[in-house]
Amino acid sequence: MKVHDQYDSLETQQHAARLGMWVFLGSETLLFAALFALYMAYRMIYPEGFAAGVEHSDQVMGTLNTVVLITSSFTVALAVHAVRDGHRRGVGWLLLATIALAGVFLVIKGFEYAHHFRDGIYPGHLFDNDELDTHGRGPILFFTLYFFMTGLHALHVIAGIVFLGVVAVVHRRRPYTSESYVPLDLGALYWHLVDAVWIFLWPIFYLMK
Amino acid sequence: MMRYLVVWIALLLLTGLSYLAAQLHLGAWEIFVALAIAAVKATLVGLFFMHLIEQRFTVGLVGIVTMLWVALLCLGVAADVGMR
Repeated sequence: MKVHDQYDSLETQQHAARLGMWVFLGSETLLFAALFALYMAYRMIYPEGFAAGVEHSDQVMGTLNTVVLITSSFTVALAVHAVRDGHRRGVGWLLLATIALAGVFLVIKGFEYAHHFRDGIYPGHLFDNDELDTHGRGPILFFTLYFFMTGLHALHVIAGIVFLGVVAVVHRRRPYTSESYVPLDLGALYWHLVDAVWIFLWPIFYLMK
Repeated sequence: MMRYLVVWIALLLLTGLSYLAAQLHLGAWEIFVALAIAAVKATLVGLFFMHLIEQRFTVGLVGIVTMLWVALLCLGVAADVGMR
């Protein structure tokens, strides 16, 4: 792999790429953190309405999705591990498995959204659910945040699919090696962040009654 | 290989633990338990899946600073809403 002029060594060059990715992931974390803080603020103001909202979430589907996403993080970590160990075969399959699990996650999320829509649960002023309306404004704010945060997360899942998809195609043409695998490493880092964000979305929207 | 397998199983066990804890109706502790387990899981992902444990300190520093900003943001919001 070529070392660009501004770097002393390949190691420094790859470190710079990784550091840049971490700074980006830090800014992504803060984007979600602002929404988590908003959730906290409204939960402090409407504790009962938020509890009613959590009660209405589909805990089984949410938990299933947590398992799916954690497993996809595991498969992409194995892909990076395989390349670092000098293997080429199997990496494509591990990436494919990761992308497939990401697809499963989106399908389950889609079913959940469909469920909510059937119950008249929409974001903002479209909200129309008689049972939850008895709990005041809390559930409306809860589900508006739910759709916004899980929706933004779903966009990140899609971005991750594209990122890892490109990495998989490149690997097929010119396999990554243990000296040169930065794009795979960065794609995996991005995917782990998507997983880490969901690790916090799961309790606040499905568990904390 | 073994390391990733162990972390994956630990993450699944913690997910199960968190799910079970949510069925117990722990009252005021419920939120704390759920978020504490989530924090442990995210730390495992960061340290092992994202290789923070083997990176130079500058990379870890980005993570630490991010967490400080998150804490500052949450503290500020909590203080604002809580003292109204």
